[in-house]
Amino acid sequence: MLAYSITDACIGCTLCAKNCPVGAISGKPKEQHTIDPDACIRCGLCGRLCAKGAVLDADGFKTVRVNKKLWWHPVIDAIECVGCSLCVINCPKGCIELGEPKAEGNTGAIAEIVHPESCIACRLCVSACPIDAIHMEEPAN
Amino acid sequence: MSTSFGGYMGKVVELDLTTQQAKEYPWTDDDRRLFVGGKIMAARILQSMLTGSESPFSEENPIIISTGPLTGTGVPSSFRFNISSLSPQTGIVASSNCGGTFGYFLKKAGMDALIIRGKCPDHTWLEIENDKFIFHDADEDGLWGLRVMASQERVKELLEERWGAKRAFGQMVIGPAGENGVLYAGIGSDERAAGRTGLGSVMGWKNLKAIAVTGNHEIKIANPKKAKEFNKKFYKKLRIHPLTGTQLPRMGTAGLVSSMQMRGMLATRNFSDGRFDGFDKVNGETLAENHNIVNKGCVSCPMKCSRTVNVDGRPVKGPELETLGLLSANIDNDNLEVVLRLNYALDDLGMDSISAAGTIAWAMEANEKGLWDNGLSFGHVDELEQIFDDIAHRRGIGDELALGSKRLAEKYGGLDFAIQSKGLELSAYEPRRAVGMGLGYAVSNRGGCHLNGGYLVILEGLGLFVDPQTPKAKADATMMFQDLMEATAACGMCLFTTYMFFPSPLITRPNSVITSTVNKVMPHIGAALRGINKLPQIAHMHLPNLPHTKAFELVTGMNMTMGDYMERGERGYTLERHISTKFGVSAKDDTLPKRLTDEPQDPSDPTTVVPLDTLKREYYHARGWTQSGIPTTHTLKKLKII
Repeated sequence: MLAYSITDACIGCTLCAKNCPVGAISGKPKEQHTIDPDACIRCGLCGRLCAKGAVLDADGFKTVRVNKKLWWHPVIDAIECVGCSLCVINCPKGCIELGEPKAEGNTGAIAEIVHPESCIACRLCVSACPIDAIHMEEPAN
Repeated sequence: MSTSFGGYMGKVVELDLTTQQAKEYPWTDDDRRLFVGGKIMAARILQSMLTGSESPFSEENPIIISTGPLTGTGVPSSFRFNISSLSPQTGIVASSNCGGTFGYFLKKAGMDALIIRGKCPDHTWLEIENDKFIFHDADEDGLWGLRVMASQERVKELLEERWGAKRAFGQMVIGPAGENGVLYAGIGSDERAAGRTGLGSVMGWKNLKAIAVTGNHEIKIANPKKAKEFNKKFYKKLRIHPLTGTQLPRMGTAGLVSSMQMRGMLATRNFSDGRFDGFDKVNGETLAENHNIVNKGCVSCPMKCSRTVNVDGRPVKGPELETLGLLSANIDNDNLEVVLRLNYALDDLGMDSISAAGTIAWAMEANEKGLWDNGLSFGHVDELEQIFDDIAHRRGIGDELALGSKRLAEKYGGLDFAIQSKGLELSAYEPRRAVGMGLGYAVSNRGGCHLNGGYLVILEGLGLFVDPQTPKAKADATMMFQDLMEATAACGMCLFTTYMFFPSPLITRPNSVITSTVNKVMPHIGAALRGINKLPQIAHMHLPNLPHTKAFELVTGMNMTMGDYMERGERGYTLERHISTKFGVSAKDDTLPKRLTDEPQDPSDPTTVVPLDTLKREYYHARGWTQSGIPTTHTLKKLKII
């Protein structure tokens, strides 16, 4: 299992710990933080938030802070989606749910992004989708 | 001990509850090639651990939780995991398959299987995070004593408190029935259950209330790009097939009630009849129109065959056909709302609804016949919810009912109408109108099970309409279907996906010339089926209507033709039988109650019984077993079991 890690460039601002969706980051304010390698789900949010570039991704590469307004967001192809729910159980922020049945006989429910505001652009839904029915898109503006 | 194959995590862990020590169990790529995963892998491990003298409630009896190589890989309907152990109901090797998320998260924790041995000294629940095993006190944490749903909520609360955040995890728990040693207690995982064969009481005996598992390993796939492309085709095939794309999504398994009524195979009044006057009040159509709130199902599955119904203002899981039939027609109850309530109560108490309902039906008849004064009678269902609660808590007559119909009949008499085989109660399919299913119930490794028995009802009236009374070709078809389902379960896939084996026109056009011809010809192709059973390798191909083998190749990188697949199934089936023979199982145990073999369902038609002796003779021939039902050394060596 590969996990993100934090270097000594960390200033202990606590932003990553407060936002980590699985509570994998710990540390005291103004001290270097650490990531629990057993709990990290490689969502990359810590790296996208860290102003000091103190986060290394699972392959050891330094991450870069990205302004939230520039984060890409997932789009579900409603024609292709089969409602398998793999994205639902893999979304760490609970943004995705199965929608109302759309077809005759109470069938045909597909995945829908019901809380887009909570999305952290982790792409875990994209990699979980077994039929490539989810892709990331740039923000509109 | 890593693996060169995709889909597998490359590790099997053996955990001793007594010493709280975990170690890796040796499991090689050769083992993976021969024994695939799931229940076949579990059987191989059990073979190495059991000598034939162990009792289900003993430290020597392991519980093996295993996944298949396709579990959680995105292949359709592949979220299944398996639990195998010695069953307290049958005393021999048993397995129970479940669609909850536990298997997926077990793989995320880096394991293909977890072997649990020993016994916790006190009431315990277990937390697993990758290779860390953390034991918690189930009494202190307020978990012991809770029902299945409340237990799962409590585990979630406890973990969120420990983690300080919400994390995805899988869990399997027992309810009061498992804690109190009800012989048919099941194990719950999410809304799904590993219900059959009483493995919940084995967990309870080990003082293990719940297991929660999480991890962050990646499930690697040999050909990820091609696998995703193929998944699309596989999903499409499932969605356009009349059984997996229409019937199961719209009506769930309950959709079979009307067909069973029409064919006279809806078990009624403890299997004394095959038709129920009030069937239209409890069938799949009524359930779908009046009670179903939304269709749900396992992760990764497009069928969504599970119903959600309203009980006391709460949306809860609805009944499957087997429970629906046994809690309605079989106890003379036409009130569907009562069925929904009882079904949920049984799930929540953590007991197998098939065995519980079958035992109650026997008790009703025993009371009416004056064998056992227990106050139960057909058609009187008001007290049943309380009775089930009493069973789970071993109170009053519940303490005795917790033993199941076979043991009660041995005590009070009435074995001829105790509808069980090897101690496991039969499902709602009345086999006197589907004699191939009768054979399956009798020879099934885990006792009276329709699925482990080959599910020949699909040929005998619920899909095709091959003469349900003839024994011709049924033994070979039973073996073929058993092996096909054995391999499919071992891969981690749902057995319903094998329905695609039947080309759509045979289902949608039952009166066409082609379908009628198939129905008529089927009893005469026993020799051809025998040939394939004896030499499955001649099917050196992939079948378009069974995409399982191709999906298996793309995920694992291992070669797997249809013939290889059937061979794996046969190996698994015979292996379980081989272990059971160490416990004394032979032809004498492959039985049905006399009601089904000696009393015609229709007194004017002597063919409406199960001609079990004829069917068994052919079946043992087909399997390469002796007429005593023991696999021969030649067969065991051919299958590389010994």
